[in-house]
This record gives sequence, structure tokens and C-alpha cells, in this order.
Amino acid sequence: MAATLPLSFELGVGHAFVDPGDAALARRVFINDGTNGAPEKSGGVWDFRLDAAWAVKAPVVTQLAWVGGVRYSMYSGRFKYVGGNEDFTITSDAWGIGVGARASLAITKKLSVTAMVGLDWFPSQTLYGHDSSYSSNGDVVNNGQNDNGRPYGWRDADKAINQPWLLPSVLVGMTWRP
Amino acid sequence: MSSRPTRVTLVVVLAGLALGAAPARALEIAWTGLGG
Repeated sequence: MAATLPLSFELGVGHAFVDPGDAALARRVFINDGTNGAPEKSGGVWDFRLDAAWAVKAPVVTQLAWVGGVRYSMYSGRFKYVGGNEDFTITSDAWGIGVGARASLAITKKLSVTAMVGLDWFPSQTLYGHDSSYSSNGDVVNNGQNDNGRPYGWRDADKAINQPWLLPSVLVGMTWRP
Repeated sequence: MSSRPTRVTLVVVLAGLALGAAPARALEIAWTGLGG
């Protein structure tokens, strides 16, 4: 009977403040070979998840659940060269899949301490910046080249940018039962 | 009246680390116990 299955669904929205990557290499790969100015950088990732959760019995904790489902991440990294007249943003939106486990320990009827571990994977990506883009499938648009004349490709863009790819996470917090 | 039991939805607020290419502070809010 469906009502007795320990299966439910959950929605999650998260944000991570990230080091967006290597400013100098990002500038070379996406913009130009200029080096003037002092680099400043900031970045963030919004992530959305829809999971199936399977509750299991476990010692000590009040509730333990395995979760797994789809992910969508939105990365944005801003690189600014102060005094160098260069200010650009790299973005990447990607679908992924993820699994995890969540344990809760009740401290009152309505509040629990909760810990969660997860591993998300975003296998297919495209990094956009200025008028260039680099895709994990090999597609490139307006790619630059290094000092030896070798055209930049996905590996260079991926090395420059810290967009989520294989993303372990460890989170602790509270669960509230309304 | 429906006899179907109402599922309790839990709200989870979490903070921690995302350990990707560079470790990052992360926040998450989740709504659990939907459906089922």
C-alpha cells in the first residue's frame, strides 16, 4: 500500500559562495591577453534539487533517509581588474544528478538537529563569458589562444573556472515541523 | 471528508560546506515529506 511506503519527496534550494576561479587564466581564455589592473573576484552558485527520500530505521537518530534525484545549478563568477578597465562575468547553468543521506535527532517535538551529506554531479556544461563559450562536449565559440598559438578549449576554460562539476557537500542545521 | 492522512511537511535549514573545486560556504533550505 502506498500509504505505508517510507517514500516521500522533497525540494531544496541552496546557495554557495565560491571562489570563482583563476582570474588571470579566465581573462586569457574568455577575454584577451591583457594583464593590467588588480584582479578582484567573487562568485556564487544557486542550486535547486528535487529528490525522492527513502526513510530507513537506524539506531540513535530519530530519522535517517537516503535521498536521490535531479539537480539544477546556476553558477556565476565575476572577475574585475581594477585599473585595468576589465570587468566580466562567467556563467554556467547545468542539469545534474545527486545522492545523499540525511539524519535528524529530535530535541523537542518540533525541532531536530539535522546533518546531511551529498554528492552531486553535473556531467554536461557550457561556460559563457563575454562573447565566448566553451562546452564540455567540445563546442567552442570565439575561443582565444595561448602564447604558443594553441587554441583554448574546454579543458582550459574548466581549469580557469570553479563551476560545480562533482560536488560533495556537508551540511548541518535544524529541522522544524510546522 | 477525506480519510487520507495528512503528510507532515518538514522544513530543513542547513549550513555547511560545498567541497567542489574550491571549498565554499553553503546554505540550503529544503521542504521534506512531500507526498508519499
